[in-house]
Amino acid sequence: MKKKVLFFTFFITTILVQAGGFRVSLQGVRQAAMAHTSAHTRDASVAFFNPAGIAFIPSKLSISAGGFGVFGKAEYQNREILYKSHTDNPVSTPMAFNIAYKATDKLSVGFSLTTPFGSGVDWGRNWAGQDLITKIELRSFFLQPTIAYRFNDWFSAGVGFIHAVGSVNLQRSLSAVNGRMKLEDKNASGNGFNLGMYFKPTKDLDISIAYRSKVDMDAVNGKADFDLPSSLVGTDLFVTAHDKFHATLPLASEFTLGVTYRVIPKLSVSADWNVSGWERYEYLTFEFEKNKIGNDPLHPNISTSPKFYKSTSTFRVGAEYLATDVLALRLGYYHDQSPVKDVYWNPETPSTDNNALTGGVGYSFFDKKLMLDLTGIYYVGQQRRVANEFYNFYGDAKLNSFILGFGITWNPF
Amino acid sequence: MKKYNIITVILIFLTLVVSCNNNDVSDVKVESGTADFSKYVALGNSLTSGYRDNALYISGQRESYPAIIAEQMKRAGGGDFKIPYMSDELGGIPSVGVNNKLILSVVGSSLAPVLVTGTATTTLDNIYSQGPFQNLGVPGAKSFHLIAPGYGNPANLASGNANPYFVRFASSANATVLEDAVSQNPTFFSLWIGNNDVLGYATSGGDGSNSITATSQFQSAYLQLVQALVAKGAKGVVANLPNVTSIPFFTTVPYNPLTPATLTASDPNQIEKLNQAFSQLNQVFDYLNHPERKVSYSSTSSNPVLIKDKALTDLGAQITQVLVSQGISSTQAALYGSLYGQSRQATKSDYLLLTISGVLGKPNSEAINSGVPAELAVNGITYPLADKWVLTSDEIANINTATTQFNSIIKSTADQYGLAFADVNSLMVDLSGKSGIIYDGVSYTSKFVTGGAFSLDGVHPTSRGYAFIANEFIKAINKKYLSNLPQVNPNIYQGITFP
Repeated sequence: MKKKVLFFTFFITTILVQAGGFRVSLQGVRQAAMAHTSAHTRDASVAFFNPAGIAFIPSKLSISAGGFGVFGKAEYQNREILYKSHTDNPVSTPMAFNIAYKATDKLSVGFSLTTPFGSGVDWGRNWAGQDLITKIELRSFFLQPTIAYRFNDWFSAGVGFIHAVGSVNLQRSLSAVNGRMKLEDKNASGNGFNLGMYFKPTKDLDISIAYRSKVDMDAVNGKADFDLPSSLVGTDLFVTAHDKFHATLPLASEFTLGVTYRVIPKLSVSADWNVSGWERYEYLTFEFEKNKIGNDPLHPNISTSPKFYKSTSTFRVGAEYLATDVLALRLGYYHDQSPVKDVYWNPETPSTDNNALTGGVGYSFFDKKLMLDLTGIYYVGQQRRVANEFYNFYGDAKLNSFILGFGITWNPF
Repeated sequence: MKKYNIITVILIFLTLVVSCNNNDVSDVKVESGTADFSKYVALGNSLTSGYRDNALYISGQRESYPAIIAEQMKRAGGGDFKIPYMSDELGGIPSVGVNNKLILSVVGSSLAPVLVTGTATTTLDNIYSQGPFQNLGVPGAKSFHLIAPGYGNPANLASGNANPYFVRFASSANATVLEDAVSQNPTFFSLWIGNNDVLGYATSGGDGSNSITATSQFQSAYLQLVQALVAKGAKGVVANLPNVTSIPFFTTVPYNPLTPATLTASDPNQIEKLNQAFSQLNQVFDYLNHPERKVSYSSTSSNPVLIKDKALTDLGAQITQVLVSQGISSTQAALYGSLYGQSRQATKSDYLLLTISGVLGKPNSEAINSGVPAELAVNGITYPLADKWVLTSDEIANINTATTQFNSIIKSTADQYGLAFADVNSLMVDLSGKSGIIYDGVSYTSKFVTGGAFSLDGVHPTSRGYAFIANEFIKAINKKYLSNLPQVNPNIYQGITFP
């Protein structure tokens, strides 16, 4: 079953957009049901949230796998021309696989595979913003070998090395010449790290502090395919219909402070504060090898689009109630700020401020050796008025999505 | 306790969700405000007819700015908008020598506008029986033509007092365009006229064959038009004139197009030979205290063309005299005198016409036939370009003065009669700016062909350009009459078609 899930998710595109640019907060099925809070050490999935957390997992070996289905839609309307459009996105499937093992009583090692960044937006080929974007698929896998050391009963520290691999496929129209452009790179990669400290000062309180670094995804050898009227191929602008490009896409850092408090044995409450480092994302620059279709007057082969994201905070609050020994009920709410400013808003990342209501159930078997989790999230963007002066693109944007997640965890011994 | 928390959270959440006010555009009702769009007529010239690519043809007519506006008006009580369609997509009228449209085609290794082949089927047969037509734009019309009786009379074609396009759809041989508009009892009109009153002069290089309309004549024609149109209470919109020198027809060929590479294309020593040939003449200019008339060609930078400027003092006789005194034969000296008496190299303030590309650097057969040696008959290099190819700064000043005067008449008339006013001139200024105009990520500039806003004739917009103009009209109408006609997305209209 688990294998199947993995296999499946590897071959399907990842993820609709979420507020934090293209950060997709779906790395743990149980966590997601509690607003995707971080201070939970039930199983190996904590490796992504806080590498130090794996030292507090109750079992010697923990394997956890989960997958999500995101059904989302973004809408755009322009009051000046009384025009409406919406995306027809493929169902995206973020996934997570984590394994943790206590090598010694103090030292734990683990491996985490997640898809924390991505987007899949399809506006169609004939919409008002087609020269900004018609379709984008951004996928990334974070591969994170992890090590944690438990200093005593109440404190551990951990570190993970992140190697990210991913692909980008971005398509847009070139209306000026009645053409289209497709930029694709299947082998983008980048590196980063994940650091954390985990505290259990009392048996009822967990405190998680973690910092995940930025990762610059380098698309070094991308393919740029142009679909053009034949008379334009071989001209000064379009030297070739099959060019190469280079681009770097920044994936933001994230600092997370999380707590979980057991109010009564049956009820625990969790809260998180995330701060994203999106402000690093200032420009998206494509450098073409031959074609001079850029907008940089000094370097005609460089096309730059201003992004100027701002760093954002997310507040999360969630709870888990043990209805019986084997059945857990979960609920959560979080508010996501959009890192995209109105004047730089771009439909390739149709970002809004969002409210999310999360919920789920968990069921355990064999004395908590095997656990199944189910999560549902209703994710609603607040309509915003956007005014991108650079592209002279104005209108209202909103989005919403529904997310389903299913996870399986095995803590054999 | 916990239950209440959860309920609170859910309530807060639902409130947030519900409070997302959609303001859905589907719910917007388009209103005409204080205007009545039920019968809209459009008056003007080629720009109003939808003329593009140097011809009037069906798809251009369909995407004319009045047709775009009329389409939007239909959402607020607007009625039918009939267009006097040509018979085909070629646009020619063979019986009176009107050419087919231009298309982009690969010529040699580059793209160039060429006449589309095919036999056009439009005749001068009157089609008024299918009318009356609401788009009354007549290509070529000047302000006073719209009030000229017989402008649609085929009998006047030979004398140049009739217009083949109006001949096709005039209600009768002696009707004026204005009468054909007023007789429909329009509730709303648009009037964009006066461009040709200046443009004709400009596109003929200011050589006198097509003069600028006198300001007084323009003013009286304009007043007559507006007064007749508003007489029965119609509301309307008028537009001002863009400065013609911002259109690609005058901005494409620079004053100094002669690169060393083109000059030496057939002979590597051509530049030295030219300078050698002009050295004697240059000494004469020095001697006559006119060093600014000297001609020299650089082998490192792009060179200006040689033009004839009728505003210059004619030094012909003096040149001849000096050369004769230097022992040159009198025939030769007279030739130099006549060729270079009013010649100079062009400067930044001179504009060359787009159509010059066809003759520049080529031998002038007319001159050769009249006895000028071939080496002195190279257009723009040794043979000064005739007046009709160049707008000098004096001629530009005439154009600017007239445009400014006409525009102030248009504006004050609009104010006087309470009409909406579309500032198309500002739109063109924005378009000719360095970064042009961007719409939904698509850039438009006034650059020839690649700019996307102007069609292949360098004078008339593409339909995308016309859509921008339509938006300018719509904004003006909405502002004046408190209507809310939606604008259009220019990117969905026809731009330049690349083969």
